[in-house]
Amino acid sequence: MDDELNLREIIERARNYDTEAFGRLYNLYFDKIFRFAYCKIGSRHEAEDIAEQTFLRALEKIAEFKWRGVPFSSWLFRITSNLIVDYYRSNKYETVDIAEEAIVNHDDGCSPEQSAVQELERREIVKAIRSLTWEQQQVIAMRFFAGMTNEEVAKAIGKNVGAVKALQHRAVESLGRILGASYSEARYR
Amino acid sequence: MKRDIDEILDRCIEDILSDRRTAEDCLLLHRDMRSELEPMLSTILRMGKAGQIMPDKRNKERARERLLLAVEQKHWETGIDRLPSINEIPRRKASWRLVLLRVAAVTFVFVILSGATIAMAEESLPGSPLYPVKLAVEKARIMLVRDNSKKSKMYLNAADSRIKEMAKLKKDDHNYSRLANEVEKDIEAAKKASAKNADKEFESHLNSFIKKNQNVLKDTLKKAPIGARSKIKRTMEKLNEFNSQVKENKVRGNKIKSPGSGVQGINGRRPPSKDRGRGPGKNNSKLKIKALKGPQSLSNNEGP
Repeated sequence: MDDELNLREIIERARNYDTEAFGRLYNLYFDKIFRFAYCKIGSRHEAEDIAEQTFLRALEKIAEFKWRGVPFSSWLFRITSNLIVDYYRSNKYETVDIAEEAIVNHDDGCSPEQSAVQELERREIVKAIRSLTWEQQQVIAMRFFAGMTNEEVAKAIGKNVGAVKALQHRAVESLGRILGASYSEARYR
Repeated sequence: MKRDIDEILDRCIEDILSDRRTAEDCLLLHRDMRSELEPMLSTILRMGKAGQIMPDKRNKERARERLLLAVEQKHWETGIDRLPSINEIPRRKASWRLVLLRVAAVTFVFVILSGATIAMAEESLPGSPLYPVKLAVEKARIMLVRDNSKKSKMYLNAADSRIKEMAKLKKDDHNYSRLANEVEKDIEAAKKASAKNADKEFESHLNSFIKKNQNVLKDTLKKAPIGARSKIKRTMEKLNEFNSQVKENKVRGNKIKSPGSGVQGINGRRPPSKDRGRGPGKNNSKLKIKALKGPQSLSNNEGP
């Protein structure tokens, strides 16, 4: 409750274009939005770009944001989803060299080889996710990559919590089939 | 049954993602559904790991800086905290009591402060105990001058001092915005005073002031904290605006002085009808801000 009150205050200040308030919103949501975009696109650079664009667009639109039972995070993720749709429509996306991306981004303490293996694993998962329906993709990206609760996802995609759980179940089931993963393999990975 | 497995899977996901339980614990808890749950939990484990991806720190930091600059720009564009200019503030009639009070204050400042203190205060910076003395002496000197031309030059000198102080500040000093505001106020005051009686001497004084300070302000802009940059940019705009206004007034004055038109001053006259409204007012400053914004402007038709 306190968190929500604080967030409301921050958003109110952000509506007056307060730099500090925007900085705090950025710190709160940038990583989540980046992971969500990565899950849908499969490229770090593009995901970083989409996350940045999300905040710039939020800056343009924040005056229109109203508390109508929709959490701020859901509003932000809707902006990101629109940007991802635009990205696919623009045909500017292209196959990204995974090895190159992994080598460039190894500031997570892993060796370049480890980073490349992790990137390949992520790539495989993202590819599998892209074969799901759009709604299933949204649920998986929001739940597992952005770390949102069922309630937040439900509000972001305009469904009830029960429907989100059902979508999640079907999506995980399909992914299990696509990835052909065995439990023991994943457990010792 | 379908509903049940939706719920059970969701609980397992919550527990695994929040590290309350392992996948093995979940399978032990729901032995009867093991065959169904097992492949799904393995997928969840893999996705949990994949979902921990982080953006590149440097790119994230750069994007943050760009965003905050855009916020500052927007803040200025929408004019939320735009200070009313001196011209917009309704003028209070100076009563004899106020005049007396001012004279008393000025005398007080000069009597209390010895020459040595004033000399020491000349080099002080914001935050120093002598800085208020420096400002008080400066204000008192300006107040004692009656001639508007001299007054406007003194305001420009005060702005010049503030710019010099800004250049001396350290990178993370919090006084940049304050000083930029002061420069803006001094420029406004100089503008107002010069509107009544500007001469060639003032014009050359203004020119040398602009020449001297444009680069200093540009350098200050580079080292100032992000939060203060828009204010410094605004000060630069004010300066350019003032310069173009003085030039425009000069051109108008020449036109008015053409044969047959009689002797008229260069300021405070209405321009010929076709030139009206083209002065360096709101519209011009808006254009300058747009130009500063660059190609990253956003479409208003999209978004949620």
